[in-house]
Amino acid sequence: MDRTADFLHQLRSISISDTDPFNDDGLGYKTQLNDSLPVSRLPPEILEHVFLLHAECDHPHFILTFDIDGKKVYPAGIDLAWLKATHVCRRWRQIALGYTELWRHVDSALGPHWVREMISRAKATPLCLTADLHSRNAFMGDVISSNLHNTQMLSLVCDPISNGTRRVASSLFKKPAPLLESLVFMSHLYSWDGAVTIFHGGAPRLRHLTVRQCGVFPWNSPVLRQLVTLEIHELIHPDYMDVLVALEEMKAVEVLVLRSGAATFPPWIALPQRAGGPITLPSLVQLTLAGVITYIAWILTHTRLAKTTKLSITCFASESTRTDFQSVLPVLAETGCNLAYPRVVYGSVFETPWDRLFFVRAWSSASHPEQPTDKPGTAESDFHLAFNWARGSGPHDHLGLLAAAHQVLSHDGLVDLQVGVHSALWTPQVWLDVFGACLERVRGVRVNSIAAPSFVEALALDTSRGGVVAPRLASLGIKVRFDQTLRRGAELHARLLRTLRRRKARGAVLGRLALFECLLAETQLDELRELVPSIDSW
Amino acid sequence: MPTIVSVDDSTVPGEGSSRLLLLVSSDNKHIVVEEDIMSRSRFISKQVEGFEATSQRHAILLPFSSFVLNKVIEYCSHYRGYYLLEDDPDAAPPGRSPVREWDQEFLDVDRNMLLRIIKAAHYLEIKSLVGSCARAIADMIRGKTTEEMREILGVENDFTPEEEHSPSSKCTG
Repeated sequence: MDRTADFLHQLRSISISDTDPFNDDGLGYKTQLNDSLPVSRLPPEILEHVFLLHAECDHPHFILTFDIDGKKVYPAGIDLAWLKATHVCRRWRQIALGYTELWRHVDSALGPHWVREMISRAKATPLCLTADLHSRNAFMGDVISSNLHNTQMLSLVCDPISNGTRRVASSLFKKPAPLLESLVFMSHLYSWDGAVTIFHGGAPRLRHLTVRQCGVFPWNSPVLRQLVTLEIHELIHPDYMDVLVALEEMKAVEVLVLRSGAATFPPWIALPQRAGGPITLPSLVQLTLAGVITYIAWILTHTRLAKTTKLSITCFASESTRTDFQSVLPVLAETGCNLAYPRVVYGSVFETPWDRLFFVRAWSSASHPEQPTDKPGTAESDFHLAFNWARGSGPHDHLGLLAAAHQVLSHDGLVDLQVGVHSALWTPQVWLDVFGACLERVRGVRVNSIAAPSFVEALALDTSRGGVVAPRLASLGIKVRFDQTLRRGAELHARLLRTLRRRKARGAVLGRLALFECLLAETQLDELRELVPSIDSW
Repeated sequence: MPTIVSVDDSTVPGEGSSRLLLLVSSDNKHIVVEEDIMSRSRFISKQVEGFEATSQRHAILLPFSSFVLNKVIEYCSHYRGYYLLEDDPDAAPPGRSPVREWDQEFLDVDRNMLLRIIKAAHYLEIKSLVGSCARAIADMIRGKTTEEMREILGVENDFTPEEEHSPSSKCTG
């Protein structure tokens, strides 16, 4: 091997233009030289493997169109960086062209010429097609239609304006797709034809289905029975009973995501009563539910989950559903708070834009997805806890929330406390109560601008009583983080820090108090004077 | 196919709980290794099955140097007893080679050595090692221009000007 390498080195040192034994360009010589290199003596299947891994990161991902000043902008094209490898030498090109797997990821953003070229190079290899069916990509309708029989993965965005593209999408779902395993369909204001079930059962291999904003989803489609992953994002709530009937048939489903947009409050829809016991979803690994709180509770009441099922819930609630909320708290507590499901991820109940709506964002987390993971104490027993609620929430809500919070706080895990209270009810005393329950376990405190006054006042109150909270937080090195929604955000933070440095604040606690003082002085003093009468005496 | 020569039992003590194999490299170095370590290699496993069928034990001659062979043995020793999906002949092939931190350090070698290891791994049918080497090569050329790729791998541009500038060689949509 070493002798070969020496020989090659000597060969390389000879000027090609001097020798040129084969032709004017010395190309034959170069080809022979390439053939003798170690890299060229790799079997083609290894080079194919390398190309595939090289291409892996560069496969065109779905590119959404976007608006600039009301004008639609579409990507001009995609530069497939991995194609450069096919320009290295003849052998590499030859191998790449012959390796059909490399060419099967096709995106409409490539334009008609390259879409067709890649499909032709992919030959009989099942395709992964991604298309934004806007008017400029109208050719994709024909392309997909004529290749649907050989498509393994299909991602479609349907133009919300063009009826033509919607017709194309609709016609596609009526054709057989024998190899299709994964379908992603995004639309706006598009309604599935109720009479058409997806692919008429002509997609026997379909296992993964994601549908966003399609208007009305055909919950009676037989294709649902075979799915392993189902992700539905709808603007309006589905018919709950339809969902349940469909779920009853979905014995193979492992990942189920049901997200509905904010309900139109009021009026509230009366949920149907269902006879029979809960539905068992034996294979379910992950359940994500988002929607109106009573809907979530209803689904949870009617399904029996394995204890290892990862559950994530996001609930919308309104003043008009306050009573409902109170009634479903036990259900949420059952699934979320008492750790009957040890791997429950988190649940949140959050506000709608309505002024009178209350807003809770609570509870537990083994590893909250929104939290940084590099902090200490992110083990599964850790807890994430957040409270938020809106102005106008009544004492009834307040007590309910505290009751829920108490269940969370009574657990042994660590606590991340996020408070974005928009209510005079979250008094300094509430802060102290919360700290009283979990101070030893707090690992982070995050406060938004609205909650800041009561937090500062709580610290002042605590200090006047001999103070345990501030010293404890300081001793733990906990930094109080301001929510980035502060009026002037980062700029303000920077200014505050400069101010602090000038003042040469003495200790960590004093520094934080000074930070608040600066914050209040420079941003919301008048407003905060109303909320915190004692502010001038700090 | 490798040349197989008969060896007597004194050369290859194979009666212990973990039997030993004698591997002979192309530079005629004799390396004794536990059979268990090399069981990740489909090629070696098939050879061993052959030994059992004939009740004769042999040395296995391999067409690469002891330096490369020792690297492969180091890899196999590290993953001794580990289950790697890629090496499971009964499992469906994984969609993509996983990134393993240890492999990345292990394969932090010069280009020629990397190519020799991947070739040996391919010969020995150690799919996990082939995958890791292929990933290392892919990482080596990722983000590089064509010219830089040629430089890294020492490859000459052997395209005619027509081939190089043909419209079909560009892909900008």
